[in-house]
Amino acid sequence: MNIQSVRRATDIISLFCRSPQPLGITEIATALKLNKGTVWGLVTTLEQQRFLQQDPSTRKYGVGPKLFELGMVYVGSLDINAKAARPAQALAARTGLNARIGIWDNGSVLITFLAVPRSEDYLSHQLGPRVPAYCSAIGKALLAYLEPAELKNYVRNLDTRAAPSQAASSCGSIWLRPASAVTRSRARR
Amino acid sequence: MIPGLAALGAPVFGRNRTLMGAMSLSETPVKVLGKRLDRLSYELVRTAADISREMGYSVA
Repeated sequence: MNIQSVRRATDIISLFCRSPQPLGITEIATALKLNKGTVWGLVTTLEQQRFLQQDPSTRKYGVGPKLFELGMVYVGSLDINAKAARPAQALAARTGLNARIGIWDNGSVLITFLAVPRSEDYLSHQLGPRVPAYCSAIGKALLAYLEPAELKNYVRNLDTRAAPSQAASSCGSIWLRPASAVTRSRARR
Repeated sequence: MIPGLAALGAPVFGRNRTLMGAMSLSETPVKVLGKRLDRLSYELVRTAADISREMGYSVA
């Protein structure tokens, strides 16, 4: 397997970050501008390795158990999760609200831990795991303290079609006061 | 931005005031933005500060 194949295989896996729905060979080929034969070869290999799995009724592919396993390993390896799990759980129980921990990753927020006051609600609160920073409370808390160079880079790369100008004010989240002035002044630069 | 959801956020720092991540509290706007708003903000900031200390952050 050459480097191009590895790149294509990871591109295929990455497609599923944006698409929770199963994808067919044709859809994957179209999305990545590859021919169907190439995609078929890569997808069946990924399926054999359990990175993807095929729904027998639709013949479409979705995320496989190996990716879940890796995700759990990753989440368990994060120092912030180890340190924050207990306090976040306690905060959720005390307030009756959902507490999330997130990290800055590749221009947006990756939610790494969720504490819900009632465990039976866990699945109904699945959000993300990746959320945009500009319109989430957790994202604004990060934006307010990003290194200036990284913040500048973030603002430059922000897709303005996906981020309408009123988004920041209409999103219904409240910026914590100490952070808000900083966020606003920095975001406008 | 999710209709019907309100949230508060606070940063988490580590050693040398490095930004390590952030924390949020969320629920319906009535539950988050009502009378308890100040109390919830305080609880969230305090918890984020506790985690920050665990991560090696110190004020000094």
